[in-house]
Amino acid sequence: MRRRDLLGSFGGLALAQMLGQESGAPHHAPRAKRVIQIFLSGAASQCDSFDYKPRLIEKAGQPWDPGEKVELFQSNPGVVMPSPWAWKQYGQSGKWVSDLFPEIAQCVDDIAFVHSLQSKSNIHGPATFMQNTGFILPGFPSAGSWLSYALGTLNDNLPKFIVLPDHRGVPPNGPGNWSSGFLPAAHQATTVRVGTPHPIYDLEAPANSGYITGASEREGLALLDQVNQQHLQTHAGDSRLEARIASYKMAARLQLSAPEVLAIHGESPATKKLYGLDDAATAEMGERCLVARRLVERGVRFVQIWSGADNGFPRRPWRTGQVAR
Amino acid sequence: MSVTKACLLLVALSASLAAQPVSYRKDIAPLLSQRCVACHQAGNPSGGFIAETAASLAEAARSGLLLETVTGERPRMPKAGKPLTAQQVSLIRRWVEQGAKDDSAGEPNTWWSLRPLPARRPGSVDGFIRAKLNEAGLSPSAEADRRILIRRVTFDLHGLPPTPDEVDAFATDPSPRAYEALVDRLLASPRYGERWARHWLDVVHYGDSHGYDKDKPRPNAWPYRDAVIRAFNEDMPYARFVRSQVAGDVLYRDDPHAFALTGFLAAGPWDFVGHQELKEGTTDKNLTRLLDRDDMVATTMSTFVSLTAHCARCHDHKFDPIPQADYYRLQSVFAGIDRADRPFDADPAISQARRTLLTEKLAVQRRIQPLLDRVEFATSPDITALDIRIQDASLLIAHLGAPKTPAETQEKQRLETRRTADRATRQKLVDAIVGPETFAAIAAGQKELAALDARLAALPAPQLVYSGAAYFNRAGAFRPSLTPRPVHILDRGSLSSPGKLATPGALRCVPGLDANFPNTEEEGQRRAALADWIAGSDNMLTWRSIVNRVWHYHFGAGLVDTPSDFGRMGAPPSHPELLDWLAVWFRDEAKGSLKQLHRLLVLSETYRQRSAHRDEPAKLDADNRLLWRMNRVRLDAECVRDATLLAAGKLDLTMGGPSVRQFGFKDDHSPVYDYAAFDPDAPGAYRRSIYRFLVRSAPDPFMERLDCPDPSLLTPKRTMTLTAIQALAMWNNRFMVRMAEHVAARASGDGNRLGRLVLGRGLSQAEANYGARHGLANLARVLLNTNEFLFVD
Repeated sequence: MRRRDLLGSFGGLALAQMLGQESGAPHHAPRAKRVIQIFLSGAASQCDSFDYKPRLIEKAGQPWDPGEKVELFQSNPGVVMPSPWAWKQYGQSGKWVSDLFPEIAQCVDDIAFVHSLQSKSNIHGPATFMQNTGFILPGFPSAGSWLSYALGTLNDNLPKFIVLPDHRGVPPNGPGNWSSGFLPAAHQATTVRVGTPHPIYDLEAPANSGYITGASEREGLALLDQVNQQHLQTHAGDSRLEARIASYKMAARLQLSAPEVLAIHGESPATKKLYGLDDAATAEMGERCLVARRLVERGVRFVQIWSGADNGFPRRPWRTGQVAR
Repeated sequence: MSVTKACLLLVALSASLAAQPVSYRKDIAPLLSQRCVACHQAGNPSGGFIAETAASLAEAARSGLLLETVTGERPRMPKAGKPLTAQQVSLIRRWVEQGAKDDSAGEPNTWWSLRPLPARRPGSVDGFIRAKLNEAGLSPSAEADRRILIRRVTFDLHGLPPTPDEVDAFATDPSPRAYEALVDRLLASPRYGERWARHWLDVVHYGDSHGYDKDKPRPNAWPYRDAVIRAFNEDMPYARFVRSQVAGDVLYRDDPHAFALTGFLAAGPWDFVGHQELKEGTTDKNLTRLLDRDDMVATTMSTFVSLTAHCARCHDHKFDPIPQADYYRLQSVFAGIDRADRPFDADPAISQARRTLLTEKLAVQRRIQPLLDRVEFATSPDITALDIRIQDASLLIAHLGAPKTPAETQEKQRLETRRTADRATRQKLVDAIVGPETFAAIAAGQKELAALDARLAALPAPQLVYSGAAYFNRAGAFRPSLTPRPVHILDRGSLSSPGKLATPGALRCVPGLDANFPNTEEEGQRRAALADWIAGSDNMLTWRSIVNRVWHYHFGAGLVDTPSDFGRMGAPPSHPELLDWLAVWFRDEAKGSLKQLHRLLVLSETYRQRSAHRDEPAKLDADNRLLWRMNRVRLDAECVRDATLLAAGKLDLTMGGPSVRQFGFKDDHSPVYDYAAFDPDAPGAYRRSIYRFLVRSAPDPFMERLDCPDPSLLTPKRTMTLTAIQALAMWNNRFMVRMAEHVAARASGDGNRLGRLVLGRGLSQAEANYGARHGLANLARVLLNTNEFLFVD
């Protein structure tokens, strides 16, 4: 194992700290510290949301002829259909927003809109890979993994990259979207299934094991530490052995900190309302957003929220009411 | 260190070392090629100078330009990465001061991996290793204890630990040849092939599902996996192993083992939507195919010759002598195949009969395909207008779904009637364009095909392997090439800028080999030519590559630490003479026998050393590149799982067959793979890990946390991490928790027996006390989590 792999791991970071080294110092000082990315797979078209296209309204019903060759997925281009929603300008910036987003329209001056994105593929799988990894081929690390690798941790008790998937299922490419690719497994996403009885895989022993008790757990971890320490005495000079001992301590801290961070019931009614937890149509997504906020507040580098386009057929869209909030 | 101090140190170094001569060949050329040549090369000289040879650098060295650009507080060069170290600058300075002499005369000015292999000569693994250790003033470590040795070599060759009885027998065996006998026993066991096939499947990125969106199962991938296991167990000579995988169907006709090995061609991911749902003739369709072939090129070149040829898709290779044209020559080799199931037979007579019938079918299909295309792609403005109307009707009908009101029912009927009429009109328009002769010719061809299909159906049912196929039954928009598709050299890799047509061939940078292949319409001949190019005794890359891979798995690090990249971005060999000697020995003396190579390596004293740390050598060679001790390794995911099953007395040694689905499976438009729904005691749960069904999009979380690689990715070398999430998996995963219970049951109340089953030793007092207080299942859980269990000394 290379030093970089070691330092990239949780255990390694703890070890680095034990050895008095700086933990995961970045290559250069980042300006943004943390990211929440909301991926609305299969969401509304840009032409129905924030990208005002007056020519579509002007040319409504006329044959589609953008002046260059256009290839659609399976069908042929028909006639121009303008957005079925009305458009207005909002804020000091005069940003155009469709009536589909009356609430977001109220805060356009706080949002940076990027209208220049392009894709190298019009197929769900490759294009979703591209959005996550920058490549249309599978096997490359996702943005969250890169940030984990490059920027290190802000909180030793929580993972650096967390994915909050849609309850209803995973998007095209499945967990491959948040793979660490060729980066060490330490940088893969930890999936947190918000609102389920066991949000983090293997965080605690199975309840029905039939033999694990609170005491066996506690004393067992103490014995493990003791056996490993003795083993270390006769196997000096191998930092991996120490790192692995440390990884169990990190795991114990994660066990303690994860439930706290996921406990959104303590949030005020006003906050819950702001996140739409009082409305069945928005509650699930709202819970994920609120958890994401709590995670980044505690130093998680990259939180990715997924909604929509799960693997069923026909693909279910992201969830909206009559208008999107 | 401050800049001033660094400069002072540099001056001091320069003063003390100035007298020592600097060699261009040994010191300067490797440095330049790593840091400078990527940009400053003959093909594309940046900044007007070429750093490839001493001669091309002479002027820059004399004028002081060379030194000037790499020194100073903020050196101008190299642009990418860190500045050169003080030591590197000092080397260049002294070389310039000593007259920038070129001592590479007589040496071919080629990259190390492309130099021809030397002649056979006597030598030994230990001899080469010792020589380097002596040079560095280091000594090897003493031989490891027998109990350690048997655990090391058994995990190494079988991926499993020895049983407690095997350990005792070996530890007390009085024979001086006990270790040799042990190695021979291990190599003769089928467990060996299962272990080493797993390594190979990493390298070629084998998986049991397609990957990408929808990620459908690939039910006939496993015959390739079984064929690889068998090839290792039968010790198939390496050249034949290579040739079979690239073109076994052509080179060893009617040999079912060789045929199954062609599963190599299709081992990687496949974009179901792009191939099967996207319509013909679109850019994205062509992109799907381009990238599909790209995977074949990348897999073949990195696996067999350890070069990153696929880096030359959009431009000439930035670091290695691989022009873009050569990359497209390789694409052209695979231009006739897609990934699909292919039938094969155990009986040569039936195989031959099937081959004849399929060849006839292909001929008929080739004849009628242009006619079929004439029908499929017939178009006119009227047809296009109708297509839009038909499409609109279909969309509206789909949108209506099951009508809820009489008005909706009426609307749906109206649309359906209109669509039926439009389709009939469209058919008439097409008929008018195509003409009755064409339809008659198609009908005649289809009759021939039906007759051939009837004869094929009369043959005994074949086996299927997912492989590279030029001909198969069309599924949706996924249709066979029939003849190789034209491959153009693409400017910047873009399908919208096709350049010259590429003809099949290999890499011209490999000296002494004919890299031009026949430009034949029979795609199999193209692959056969590539197989010969790779597996020929003169391809130095092939032989260096395989001995290095084998070394890598035995010692925990390769002589070249980048086993699939022998180019300039790869690592240089730590022991170049040993690597060359091994390559020649393996090719000429062992005749490509991998078992003999394993034997040579694991019987060496170098391999048998202790792995214990020693302060003095660690100061000089912390990474143990010189092998002054054996490397301690962490068990990989498969070893952890298999060793746990073995300790639990549950390991099921059934070999081969369809992959075991260790997840809940719900088939669907996009299938669901649910690992939480699988019971660790369900049928098939105890099979060896190599027989697991590998889902590309959804890896087994337990295995993934132990660094089991994503099968979408070529993995010549696994990363080994130690994370909190991994600790949680080892401690809490249902599999581990359940197996701990089985280990305890097997020990039937005997704590020392439990210790022997998991760690091969009795219990300490603390362990025994814990077992007495909390029961043996809890104790087993602790012991399975120890470093003692997880690391091999």
